[in-house]
Amino acid sequence: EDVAAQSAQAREVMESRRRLLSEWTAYRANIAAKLPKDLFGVKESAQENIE
Amino acid sequence: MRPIMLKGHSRPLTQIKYNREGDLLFSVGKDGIVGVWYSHNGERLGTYDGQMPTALWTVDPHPESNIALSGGADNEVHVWKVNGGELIHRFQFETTVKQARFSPDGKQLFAIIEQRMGCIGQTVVFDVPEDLESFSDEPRFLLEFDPKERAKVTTAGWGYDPETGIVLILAHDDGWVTKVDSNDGSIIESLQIHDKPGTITDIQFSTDHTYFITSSKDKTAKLLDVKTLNVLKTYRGEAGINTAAITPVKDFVVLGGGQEARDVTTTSNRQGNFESRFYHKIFEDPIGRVTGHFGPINTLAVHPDGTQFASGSEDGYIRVHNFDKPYFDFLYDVEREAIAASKH
Repeated sequence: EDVAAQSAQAREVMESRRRLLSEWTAYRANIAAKLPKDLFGVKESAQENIE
Repeated sequence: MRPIMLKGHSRPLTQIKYNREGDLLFSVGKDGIVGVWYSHNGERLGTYDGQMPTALWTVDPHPESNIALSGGADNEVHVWKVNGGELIHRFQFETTVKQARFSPDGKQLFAIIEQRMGCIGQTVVFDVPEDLESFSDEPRFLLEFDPKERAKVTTAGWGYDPETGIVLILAHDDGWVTKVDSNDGSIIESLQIHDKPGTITDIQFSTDHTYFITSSKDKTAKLLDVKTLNVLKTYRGEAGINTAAITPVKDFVVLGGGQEARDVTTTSNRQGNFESRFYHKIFEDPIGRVTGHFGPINTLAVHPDGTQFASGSEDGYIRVHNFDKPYFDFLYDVEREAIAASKH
């Protein structure tokens, strides 16, 4: 029973992390779509780091 | 991670900053010296000595890296030429300059002037001239908060709202933040973020300035969206947090702090929490710590390319750590899944 409970808990944690990651990715994509290409004259490599 | 130790300050560090390219690291401390260091090997490029040996609280290189500012207890903001260290302008105020920064487009700078008996704290914004030399002492705007209504501003930074452009974010001594229009100084919004008293000790921004992290004496750091001021994430520490930064490339944040300076002599290093603590930015989990200082960490900065970070402490040292391979390899299972899915 302990093993089953632990396994259910691990699945829950994984699901929660999937949801958080998906929400964050959507949040950042929404912002990135609104940013100008030459924001503050940031180097292209640094721009890539934004995502 | 074997650190590079930068020994050049005789008193506690108060602020360190990388320039936009990340090849230079600027430092100031209570010894009144501005230090400039090569970030890749810790060699000192030079120092800018002020007119008076008073504590400096803030330093910031211009995005073009040809000038830098410093400010402190001599009630002045000094603008220096990075190459050669020539002092090209002095802004003079009534009380201590606690914080000053250039805007990310390099066209403005702000100074936070300390509230003192008989003097209301001020936030003053100046335009930066195109030639970066002929500064005017006439501010674009000046903000004062009635102490009966809002606690003094402790620190501030420049954010970017995708719809309105560059804004000023002020952090207050009572845990509030205020968003200000950078053109005319009008207040857009104020919100309480940290629990009272909740002094906000530092504020640092993402590479694109659309979100930021605040650190607080309430033992938390919070990630906020510039546009909405919504709290996106909360990171809980074990002691007061003096500084926090967002790491580019990896989805981490790093927090620094520790026991108050006055308690240091009665506290062992371990109990004092004199360490840089890494958290996963999205999942809010603590994932690692870097020890080594023997006093509270007052200031942290992360290289703009995400390849190293530096910490400045009450112990008078700057420690520069180059991130090693395990740092870059570290991923949660769900992150590996997402990367794999994006490739198909």
